[in-house]
Amino acid sequence: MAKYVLTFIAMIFAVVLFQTLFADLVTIGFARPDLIIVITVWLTLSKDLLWGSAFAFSAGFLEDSHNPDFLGLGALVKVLSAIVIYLVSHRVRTDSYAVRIGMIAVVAFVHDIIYFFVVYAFDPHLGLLSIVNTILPSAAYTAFVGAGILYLSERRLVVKFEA
Amino acid sequence: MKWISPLLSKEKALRTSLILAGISLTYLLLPHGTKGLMSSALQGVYSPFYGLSNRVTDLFQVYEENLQLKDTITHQMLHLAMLGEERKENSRLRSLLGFRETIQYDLVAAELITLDPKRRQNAVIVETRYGTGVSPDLPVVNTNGLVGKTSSVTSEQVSVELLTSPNCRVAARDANTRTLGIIRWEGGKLLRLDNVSYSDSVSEGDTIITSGLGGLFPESLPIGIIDTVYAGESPFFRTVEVRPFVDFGALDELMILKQSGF
Repeated sequence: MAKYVLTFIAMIFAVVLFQTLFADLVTIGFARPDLIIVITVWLTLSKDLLWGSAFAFSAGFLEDSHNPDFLGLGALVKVLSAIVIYLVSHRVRTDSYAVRIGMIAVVAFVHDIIYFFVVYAFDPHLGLLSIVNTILPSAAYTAFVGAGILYLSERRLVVKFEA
Repeated sequence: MKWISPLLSKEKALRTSLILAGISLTYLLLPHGTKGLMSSALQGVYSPFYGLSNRVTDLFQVYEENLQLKDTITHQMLHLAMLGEERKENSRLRSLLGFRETIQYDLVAAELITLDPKRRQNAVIVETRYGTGVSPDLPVVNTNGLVGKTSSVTSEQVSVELLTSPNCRVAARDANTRTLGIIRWEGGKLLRLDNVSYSDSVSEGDTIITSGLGGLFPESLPIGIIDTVYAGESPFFRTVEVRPFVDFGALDELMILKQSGF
């Protein structure tokens, strides 16, 4: 168990490190991938809600620490995302690869919309501008990155199984 | 929504997640000061990684800057090579016409140490390498233009009298119209170009350079740009205010111009 917890903590730091260190370097236009969302969805669907929400909470808080005005917002929206994914997974078949990628895109989109609207104090003009310029392309980009990570994780599982 | 209740009652993970969401919401609603303290604490945990992040970003910026500087250096070297040819040509033509030789200058690097305690706004103390042969009344420049002139000199420290000193007057001219005048300071952030009559042609936005006529400062050192031109109290001369290129409040490395061979 201790090994799992240590791996989990290392993963939190690694993902937050990527998000703050490399995410800005791989932006395309205004689109920026959100690896925290990808891992939250992946953990919630493939492991358990507890792992997913614990990851979302910890990584969200660390990410929020650079923006004290909205400390807790990222963690809140990400934990709520994990809960919604979990609840939806009871009603929709999530075995399909395409469904999982679609879920990542939807969660990234809804997450960013809530985040931006709160940050911009519900200003509809700025919110709409952000949706077109940033949120939609970022959701697509995050889904693309998520597809890669899901593919790699499933491949690894198959290799393990065959071995 | 009936299906949520049984889930909540039997699923520990869902209850824990909702508690985590509640904690996040509580933090979000905390006063700004408390959130600031918590942020600092969190950043303390994460600062080594964040420091690394900043360094990597800096590294990329330095790389970009390096590319730009290489490009600039290539352009400057080409420009310098062309200027060298033109200088030789100029020298040949001047000797053909029998003009006097232009004086060559060496640059002596000087590092700002402090403001001159006796004249805080008008002078600074700089340090040069030992044995550079700096003497009083030498022009001092930086990358933006003329800064002033050397006044008192000790073995390694030199007092530089800035253009914003009432004692520092510079023979200058309008680079476009060649109109001559004297640059001096009367207080404030702007300089004055004196002795410009109503018939002289000067206009706002013109660059003012040293004329080289005073004998102290070489020709063509940039001084500033004409900010305003207006009819002053004098019936003969216009008042011309010049915004200096040099920011006298942010001086750093300076260069002292010393005649070659001295």
